[in-house]
Amino acid sequence: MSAWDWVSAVLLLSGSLLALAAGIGMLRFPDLWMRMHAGTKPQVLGLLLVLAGVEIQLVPDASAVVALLFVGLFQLVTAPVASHLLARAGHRSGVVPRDQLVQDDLRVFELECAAGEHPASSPPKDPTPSS
Amino acid sequence: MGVVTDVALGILLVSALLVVVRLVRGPTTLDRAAAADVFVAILLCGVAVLVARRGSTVFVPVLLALSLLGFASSVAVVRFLGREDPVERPDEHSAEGTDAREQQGGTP
Repeated sequence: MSAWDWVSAVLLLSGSLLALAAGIGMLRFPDLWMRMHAGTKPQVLGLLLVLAGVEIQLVPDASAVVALLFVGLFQLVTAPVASHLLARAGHRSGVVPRDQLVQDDLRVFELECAAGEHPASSPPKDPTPSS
Repeated sequence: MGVVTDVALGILLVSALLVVVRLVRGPTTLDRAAAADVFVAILLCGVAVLVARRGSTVFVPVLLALSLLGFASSVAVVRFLGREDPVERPDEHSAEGTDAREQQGGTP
């Protein structure tokens, strides 16, 4: 094995171990946001490490390397959007216990919107208003 | 390199099984959506390791398609759930959840 093979092996194994950490975290953490915290590891860093390891193996093949770079780029762009939507849905649906939060800015924003302080922004979708 | 890719595939298989356990057990649908997202990411890692193992680039388009498909599916599921009001609540947090909602003004 050459030096690049060793680098590639380290990258592949560290990415896989991040995926294992995510699996354990998904199984053992108690609520949605903690599980999302664990699950972000293979979604971003683990996948990028594995892709870097694979790219080192495929390095003469420029088209495959560029395609793998695009895979990493798509994941970097789309993973925050999906996580954001998921966390906000968890916040709104009350799945996550919100009394343990130190700071709940989204709740503050919803209350301000309900009080009419942000007329330009869209009000929170509240199917059953408390009034 | 064969041994390394085999070990990496084994680790990825174990972690995918753990995520599938969460996918089956997950008390709410949002937990299942998160688990499905992570499962797609682990599947991407697995296909990438398979590309390195075989040394052929046949599966690289599969990686591209899968990365976009996972995003679309998770966003679709979450948007669909966001419209519904009564999301099923987990047993372990139900008491705390109702307390928090009563304190904070009754938003579902």
